[in-house]
Amino acid sequence: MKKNKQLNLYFSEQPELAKKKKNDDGRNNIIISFFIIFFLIICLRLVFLGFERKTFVGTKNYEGLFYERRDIVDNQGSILAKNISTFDLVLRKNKVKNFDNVLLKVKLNFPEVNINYIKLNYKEKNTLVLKKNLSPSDYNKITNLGEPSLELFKREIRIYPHKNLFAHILGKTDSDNYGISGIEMYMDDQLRDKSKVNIPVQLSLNTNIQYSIHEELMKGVKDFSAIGAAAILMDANTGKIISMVSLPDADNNLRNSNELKNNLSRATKGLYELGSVFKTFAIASALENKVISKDTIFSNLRNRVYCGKFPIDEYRWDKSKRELTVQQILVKSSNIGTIEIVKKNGLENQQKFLEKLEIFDMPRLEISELSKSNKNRWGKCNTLTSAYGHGVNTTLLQLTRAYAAIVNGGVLLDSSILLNRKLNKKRVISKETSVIMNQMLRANVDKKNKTSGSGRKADIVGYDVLGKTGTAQKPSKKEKGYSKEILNVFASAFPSKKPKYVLTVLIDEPKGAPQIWKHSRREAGWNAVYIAGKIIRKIGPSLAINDLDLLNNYASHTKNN
Amino acid sequence: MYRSIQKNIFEQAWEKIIQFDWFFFSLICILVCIGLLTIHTVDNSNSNYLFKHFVRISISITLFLFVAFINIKFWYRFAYVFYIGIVGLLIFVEFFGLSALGAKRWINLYFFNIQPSELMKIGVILALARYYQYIKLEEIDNFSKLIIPVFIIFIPFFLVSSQPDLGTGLFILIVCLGMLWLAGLSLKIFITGFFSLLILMPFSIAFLKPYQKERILTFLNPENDLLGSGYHIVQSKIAIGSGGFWGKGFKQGTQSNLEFLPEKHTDFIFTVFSEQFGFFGSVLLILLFFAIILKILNISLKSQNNFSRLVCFGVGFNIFVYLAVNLGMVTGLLPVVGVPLPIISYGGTAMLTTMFALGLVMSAKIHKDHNL
Repeated sequence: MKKNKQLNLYFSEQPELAKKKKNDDGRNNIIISFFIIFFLIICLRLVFLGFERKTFVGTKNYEGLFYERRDIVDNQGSILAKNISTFDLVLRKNKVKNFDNVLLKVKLNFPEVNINYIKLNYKEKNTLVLKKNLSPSDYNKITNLGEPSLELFKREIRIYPHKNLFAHILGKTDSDNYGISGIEMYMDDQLRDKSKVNIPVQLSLNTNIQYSIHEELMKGVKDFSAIGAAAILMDANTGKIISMVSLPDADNNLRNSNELKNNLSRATKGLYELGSVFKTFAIASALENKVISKDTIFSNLRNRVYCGKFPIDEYRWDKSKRELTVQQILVKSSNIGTIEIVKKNGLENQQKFLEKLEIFDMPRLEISELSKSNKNRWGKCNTLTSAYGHGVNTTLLQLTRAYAAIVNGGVLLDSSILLNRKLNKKRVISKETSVIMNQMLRANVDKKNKTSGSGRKADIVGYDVLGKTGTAQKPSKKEKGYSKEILNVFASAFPSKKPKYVLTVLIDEPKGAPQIWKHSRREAGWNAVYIAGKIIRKIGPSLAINDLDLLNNYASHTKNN
Repeated sequence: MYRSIQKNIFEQAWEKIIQFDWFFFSLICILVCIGLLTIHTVDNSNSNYLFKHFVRISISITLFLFVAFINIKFWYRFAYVFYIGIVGLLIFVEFFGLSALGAKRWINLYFFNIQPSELMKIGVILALARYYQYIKLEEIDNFSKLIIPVFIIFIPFFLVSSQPDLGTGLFILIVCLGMLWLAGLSLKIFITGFFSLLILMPFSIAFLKPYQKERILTFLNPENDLLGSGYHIVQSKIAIGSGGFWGKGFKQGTQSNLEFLPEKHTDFIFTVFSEQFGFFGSVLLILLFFAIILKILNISLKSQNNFSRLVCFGVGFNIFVYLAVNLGMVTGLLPVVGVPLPIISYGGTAMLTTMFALGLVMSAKIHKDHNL
């Protein structure tokens, strides 16, 4: 009590403390009003948040969690790849009140869901994905069920409406929408560019033509019991790829297709020795260097020459192959004749020319599956065999590019599947050489030419097709040397006066087709050329619609006939 | 003689029980119960939050009662010792502390990890209050009388900020400024201080860690970064908004019950509560806090000495700042700084220090007639 008294006196008797107390009251009031203002602000904020509730929905909106991707469209604007929203059915453990009841509901409404899977994993996982990519009727079932533990999980998936039509070009995305193959992988950053998400990526490919080529190639594989095939249609003057097919392929929408062999793109990734199509390059090089002309005669050609101890044989030698002009060497596809031309031209010129054509370089195309030739160094023998396409390998794409350069007036272009990309170009042969080459290659296909060669079956009226075949033995997988299996190529272009389209067709391990030819020969002329002819017949009208030159060329022929 | 002493002790105890503020204590108990209930709603079978929280609450309330019945004189005498001890711990943490998430904040006591920066909130309040106990009002603005408080404030500020725990550092600073204001420091000094801080600001930004900068930037536009720190705010706002006026009902919150809301049992507990009990419940909860703070201020004003007055105010202001920052954070008014809601949130050290601090207030109330 004594203490209290003392304290009371303390306050009342000291004027400066009284003054301080007064001062305190002022400051206290400021502090209390500050508190009150803050509480009012928070309450107001709560009211505002209450009115802001429009953003809330019953299902979970994870937009932004998965990256959006730009559409991919063809040269006509039709959609090749697109992102759509979908829902997954998810079981949330912490929302389950009656587990048996939930199981019953799932069993009745989604008989396809594996109940044992739920029972097994229920205890360990908080969240179980029961079914992916729900259909609209599944979606309605869930919303009508009203079971809180069964949730709809919204996400974006990539779909490819044309299924396997563009399989090797488009590639796939993973479940997080990152590109894992094809153009989806090569252009992943651009496709995920948020600022351009509404602008599609336009390709130079044409869906109609792609479909026609795909169909014919499928038939071809079936007719000739081949293990695979590929075709590339390129605009010879721009380097843009109009169509590119590789078989077998798989539906891009099926995420789990694990057939590895289907993933090999025979057009861009597969490395092959392409055979006699390479004669075109050996002759073009010699012509360009003016060591031969179209009519230069090579005589005393034998059926076998040696490079060191390795023999090089003529294919189906007969006496008529003893004396040949340059054009005949090309048309009759004479190995020995071509070797003579290379010898005349000089080995170094042959090597340089192939390098100039970038045959052995890494192809440039906007997809991730590309291969570079594994040729390391030049020797005498592989320079000679390279003249008829043996001992060196490359991809069909690089062959197509080189062919375009030979037929388009001598300009080598970069290849691209993007419609609006500017490409580099460089001259590799003169215009004159290109014109002569076109005449000779046309003679190889032209049925009217008595000595016409292996390309006859592709001489479709009105298109003036030119081209060169290649039949190559495939290297043996088991031992050194070559196997009995072959790989055939037909590199063609049309119309021959001013080629605009280059079409290359590759068929892997074709067998004889007696049901078509009544014999079992399997050289390129009997399959690759036949398929190319059918393709040209089918796609010709579609190409001519937008191509006056091709249309006039076609019209002039039909008039004459 | 012996009997009189015995009687004296009995009388003293009885006096303390009479002076014990039951209203204040029941307010605290109501908040504690709300915290338990809310944590129960987010507790699933895996996390055993409820039980752990219950254990911590029991320890904290015991501590509260223990501190409350110790004479405030004891805290006055040992204020500096306490303060220096914690500064020592902070320095110890700097060298031997446990690191978690890139920050060194904890000392391992083998059965319990303590966070000296939390204790420092009380230490600095005690030390400042002790200092201003006998400074006369006329002298308070003297430069020479300002040197010691500046040291008292800035030593822990720099030690805590360098952990790095800028958030707690700033809280200590703000609470101390509030105390200086109540101690009677003139407005002029505050204004000068404010402007000098403003000038220092651009330089101090250079010392911020990248994540601290990011938090400030995210605050400016949370919707820009839905998955990063902005995600918290957006989800929290949705959850609060979806509660409506009456709320979705006990244990019926969908947003907060699922995994959408991060840190729902600690920093975002208000969101969980608000979704279930709506605007009505939220305002009620805020009013409860308001009542507690007003009660603390009331005890502070009725104190017979400067020490008790400043300690109570410091504690009240500390709780207020935490409350304000937490509510501001979950409603999207302030950046996400990882501050728990006092008394309600799950978490050991924060709960203990808050109850310790409230115990000091109760002690000031019980011993208000005692001389220091």
